[in-house]
Amino acid sequence: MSTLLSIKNLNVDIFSEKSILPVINNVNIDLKEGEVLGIVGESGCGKSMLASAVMGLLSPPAKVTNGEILFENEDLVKLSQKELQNIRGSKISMIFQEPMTSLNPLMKCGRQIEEVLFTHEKLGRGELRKKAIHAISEVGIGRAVDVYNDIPSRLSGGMRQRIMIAMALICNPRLLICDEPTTALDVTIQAQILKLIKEIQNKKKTSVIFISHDMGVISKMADRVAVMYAGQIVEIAGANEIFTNPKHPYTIGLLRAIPDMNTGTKALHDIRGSVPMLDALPNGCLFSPRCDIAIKKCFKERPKLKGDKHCTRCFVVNDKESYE
Amino acid sequence: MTKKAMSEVLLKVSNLKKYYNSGSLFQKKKTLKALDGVSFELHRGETLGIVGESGCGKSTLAKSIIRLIEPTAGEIILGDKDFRKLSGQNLKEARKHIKMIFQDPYSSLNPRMTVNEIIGEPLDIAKAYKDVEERNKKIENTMETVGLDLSWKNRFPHEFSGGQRQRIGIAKAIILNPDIVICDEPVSALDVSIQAKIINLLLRLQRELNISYIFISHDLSVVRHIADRVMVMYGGKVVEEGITEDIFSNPKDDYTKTLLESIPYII
Repeated sequence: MSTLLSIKNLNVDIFSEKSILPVINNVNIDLKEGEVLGIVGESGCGKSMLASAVMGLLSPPAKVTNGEILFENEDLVKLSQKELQNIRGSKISMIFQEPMTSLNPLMKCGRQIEEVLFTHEKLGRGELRKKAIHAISEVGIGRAVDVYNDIPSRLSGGMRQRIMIAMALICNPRLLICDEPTTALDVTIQAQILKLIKEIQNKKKTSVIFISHDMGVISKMADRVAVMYAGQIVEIAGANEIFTNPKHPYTIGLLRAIPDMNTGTKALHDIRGSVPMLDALPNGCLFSPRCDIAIKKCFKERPKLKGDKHCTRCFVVNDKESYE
Repeated sequence: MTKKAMSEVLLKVSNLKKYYNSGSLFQKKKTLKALDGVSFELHRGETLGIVGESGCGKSTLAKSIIRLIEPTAGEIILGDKDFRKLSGQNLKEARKHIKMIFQDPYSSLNPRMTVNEIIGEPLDIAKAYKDVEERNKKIENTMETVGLDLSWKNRFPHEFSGGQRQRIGIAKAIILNPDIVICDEPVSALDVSIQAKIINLLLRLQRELNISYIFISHDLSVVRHIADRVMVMYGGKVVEEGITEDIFSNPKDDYTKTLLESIPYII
């Protein structure tokens, strides 16, 4: 399969009055066609910033300062807003976290879907309506015509997220970015929405970047998983591999911090300390102050992401492997 | 588990109801049954988990128990007192024994008060000290218990991270040594690693101070981890109740089964 999206050496900085904050620090990602890449990490690790960068939605004071985002061999960073607008919604689209706030409360759901379609394809009223209703029924809503005429406040959270999905998929995008699409939903509704995204992804062979803080959700959805910490990818590997054989101490810590459904031990593992502030990053490895296996080198130098299929950004892990 | 079941009953809620009337002047009146006959008992030192989806009445139940919302009908027996019949000074006195931790540590702390004032407020209301020195001592002890640095006393909530703010909320809840703490989604707004720290803190406090928790959460794995008994709610009613392991390994009710099947497990 060919590569659809290739992010190379991406840096995003936020320029504040006092300092420059590196929110995304040298991120490299290759996404193949039809692949689902999960991005997992805690708040403030740069997951959503990465999504915004790909969508070209970064607004000052945040700015891409280095690197390129190649989508179908075109560098998205260099495109003008107008050129981006042609791509957004048609070739790349996005589902946001809050279905309550990302829909226009004053517009009928159907009209909102039509709006996206009309931006990219100049169709007549009747044709637009037909396609919008078809899109609504495609996301598993039974009474599509009724919902077409409803305003978002009359729908439940799950239904609203379905409308968002219909909107995102109306132009058959090649890349879909899901930024915490089920975080605001109940577990039972979450299960339905995840199933729907998976079904559509399978049917249309869309590539997906799936962002979540929930390891369980990621493990259900993703083929490959990238773990982010303080703006860097610290580990990236196949989903099975990362959950059964995590290598980076941060990934291991995160997995152990989740209340396990199977063990009876009462105290949960906690990673000591807290996520570093972006204006006071440690000199060496960004995780070193909280790491249990850190060696001297870790406090002085920044490790690189190394490995073949299972890449880890850790001196200790990489040294051990090259030694073996 | 059996030991706990035999221990003293701290709180007995029977047939608690909360109805809301809706419908404007010209519409037919409708009654929304937010709580429809909920009954349970809480023993000393145990954790009762309450799970269910949004809108099932979990938070209404929490607020009704401490009468932040006045229930429509039912009985709340706290210790040996009928909690619903209390008022004025007696109510204040009774509320010393039952405290609450809220979900959102960002909006539940007064932004204009320092940590010292926030944690000390329950002491002032309950007049639980003789002099300023004793008040300070109590505040400092509690801050140490929940793992807050004493040098942060004069800072404001916005200077803290989510996890630290939740610690302030916990300090405020436990400073009067309550018997019962109602935790309404205390870790939902937090990241996994911070969540682990707060859960560990709650478990340690329970061991040290013998507190009973009513632990409300939509996250079933957290509830399974912390609770001795679990109550599953749906549409204002309790659909299933039992010992945590029984509910999770052998759910009887259809709704509980759907709920459990929906959890995304890691592989």
